[in-house]
Amino acid sequence: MIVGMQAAEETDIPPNFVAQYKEPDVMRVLNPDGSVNEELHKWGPSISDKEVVSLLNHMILGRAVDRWAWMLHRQGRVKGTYGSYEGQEAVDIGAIYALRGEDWIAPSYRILGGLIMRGITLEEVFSKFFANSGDLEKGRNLPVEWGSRARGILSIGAPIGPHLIYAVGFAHALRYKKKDGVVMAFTGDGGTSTNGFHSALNFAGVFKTPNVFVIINNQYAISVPVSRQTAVTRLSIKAAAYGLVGVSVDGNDLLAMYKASKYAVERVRSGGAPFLLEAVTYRIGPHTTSDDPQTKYRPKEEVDRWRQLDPIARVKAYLLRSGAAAEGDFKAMEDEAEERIRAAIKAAEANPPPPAEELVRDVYSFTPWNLEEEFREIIGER
Amino acid sequence: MARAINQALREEMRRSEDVVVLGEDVGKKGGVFLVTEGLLDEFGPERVMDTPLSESGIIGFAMGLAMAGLRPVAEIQFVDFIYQGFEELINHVAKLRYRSGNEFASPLVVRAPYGPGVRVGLYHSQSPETYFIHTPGLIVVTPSSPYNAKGLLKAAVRGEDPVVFLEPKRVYWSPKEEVPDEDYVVELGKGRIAREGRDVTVITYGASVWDALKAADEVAGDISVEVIDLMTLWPLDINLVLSSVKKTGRLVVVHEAPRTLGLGAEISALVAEKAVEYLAAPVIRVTGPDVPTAPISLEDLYVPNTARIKSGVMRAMKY
Ligand SMILES: Cc1ncc(C[n+]2csc(CCOP(=O)(O)OP(=O)(O)O)c2C)c(N)n1
Ligand SMILES: [Mg+2]
Repeated sequence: MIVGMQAAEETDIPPNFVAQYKEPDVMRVLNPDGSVNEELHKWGPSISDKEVVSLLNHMILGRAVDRWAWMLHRQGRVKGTYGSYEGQEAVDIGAIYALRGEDWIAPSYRILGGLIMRGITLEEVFSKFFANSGDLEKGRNLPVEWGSRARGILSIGAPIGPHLIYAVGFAHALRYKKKDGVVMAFTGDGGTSTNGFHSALNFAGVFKTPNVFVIINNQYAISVPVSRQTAVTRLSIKAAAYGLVGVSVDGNDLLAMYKASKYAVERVRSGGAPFLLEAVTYRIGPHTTSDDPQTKYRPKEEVDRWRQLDPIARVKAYLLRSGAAAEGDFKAMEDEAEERIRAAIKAAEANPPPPAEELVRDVYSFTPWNLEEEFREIIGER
Repeated sequence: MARAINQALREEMRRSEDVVVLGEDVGKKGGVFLVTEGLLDEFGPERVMDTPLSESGIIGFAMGLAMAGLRPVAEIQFVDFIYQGFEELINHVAKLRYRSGNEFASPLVVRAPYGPGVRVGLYHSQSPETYFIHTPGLIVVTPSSPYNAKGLLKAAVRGEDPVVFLEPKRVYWSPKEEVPDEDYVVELGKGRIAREGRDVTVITYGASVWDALKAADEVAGDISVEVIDLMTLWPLDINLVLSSVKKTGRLVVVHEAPRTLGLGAEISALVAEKAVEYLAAPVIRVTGPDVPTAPISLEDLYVPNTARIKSGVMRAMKY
């Protein structure tokens, strides 16, 4: 039984009668050694070294929060399951930096650094980890599921897929209300197998909604390799069948992620077809804190190979080459991240748990009789 | 219980080549709760299939396999994700025999961990058994212990009808119980008396059985509680329910699912219809509240614990 990831099948039917798709190259601007592809570097939206320094700061902060999350989870202080982030920082930080204030994000659960850049405070992050009253969502959801109206982040639940289609409806409504916003929706490679993904692409194509989809192809859905999600070689090919523009990007390359995303966002804003960006990256850590330490379903050498392509090291090398930053600056960023995180943990820990009444609030906009009655029984007031 | 289910799968796969396992991460990883651990090594990738991330795909594909004569056991990683396969399950798997005039059937098993108690929030804690009970054509099974889990799953795999097999994840690893290595089945459609008593009947299933037994223990000095473990939620073992209620005259139903239209509602109605003259008190329900499911922060308030079961028993007694 052969499964997964094949080149287009050759047949004897004259080729003009056969629907064709072309396998794209993966866009890479920044090489692992910090040098750039000059031609691509000149193409499209540009980004200054100063901006790159600030994005690096966010990547470093995101990675540090991830490290702390694991530590706190090991100590039993994080409630629920935490999903790892290390190695994917360039994807969401590059993509989300391309958005404007009026734009929206339909998040996936592995874009922590980008969400912090978008305005989620560190105290909120740790309050969510501790599932206490400092969490906007009242500690109800997993510590990796975010939603915040003020920051333009649509709420998601754990089931993978449906957020993609409501992100399309949301984008359509923005148009209807004559607003300029674009909705950027994230999913993993596993998510491309869901009905939500296919409905989303189809509706987006048909209604030409202002959407940019970002597939974070980190090669696995828990233990299942991407070759079990699709029989084609590049996930961006999926765009073709729905009338979207599909582009594959090196997800460990901050510059390529930013340039492709910025181009997509502005083009979609001005009425172009929706975009599907495939960010090719790798999940360095286990799937979540409940996953086993990975060697069961992927070879250690594979992880090591991807470590060589580390997105943070690449940006550092770039900045060192251009002279925009020195080693000492990186050290200062790391120290500052630690300091901010420690302070945030302290502040978050001071927040009390949500009051018991929150068990039965927000089910509706009001609290019906049965919930009042059940609550009284639960707390033994009858 | 996880290990007992693994054993049941292994034995059934050895017994018949038609039995295949499919789902997300069931292969190399052996499932997120390790229920399918080692099956890939023993039976190979044609019989232990990691699938794309699609519940509608998993259930629809399994239905096709079953129609063609295989005996698929499909895993839904958490029951909370089964809604993405609802069309396939509710409209096709469940209705196939009826709509085709018995020309076709899809005897498959859909296994899924369910229920609160491990603090993983709204989408890894749900108890949606009512949807399946309310769907004619589906058999709904919930084991409570390693022993009955093994026997029930083996019966489900060998049966002629689709079974939704809900595994209470709260008791996957404990309590432990000796499980015989030999082949045995626990008949579907039959409940068991988990503890005999005279004064009041507590009907429950899944993880709550253990809480009910503990509650029964704690009040044993004053009240003799009979605990019934349904095991098969539907079709209900009506004779067992009625004979116990006729004996004790008082009934408490306990489940983690929300109260409204939960199995407690149906049992209450059936008892009112068929044995009202035996009742000395109204039927009491001790259940999860009608909220979307256990929030991480307040999970302890959600789960009907021993204290709440005891207070339900007291209310039935004092009436
Ligand atoms: C509908 C649905 N089915 C199953 C799951 C369980 N699950 C959680 S994460 C995951 C893998 C997702 O993989 P991918 O989309 O590639 O994202 P990644 O975790 O790699 O970021 C699965 C199967 C889920 N959350 N939702
Ligand atoms: Mg993935």
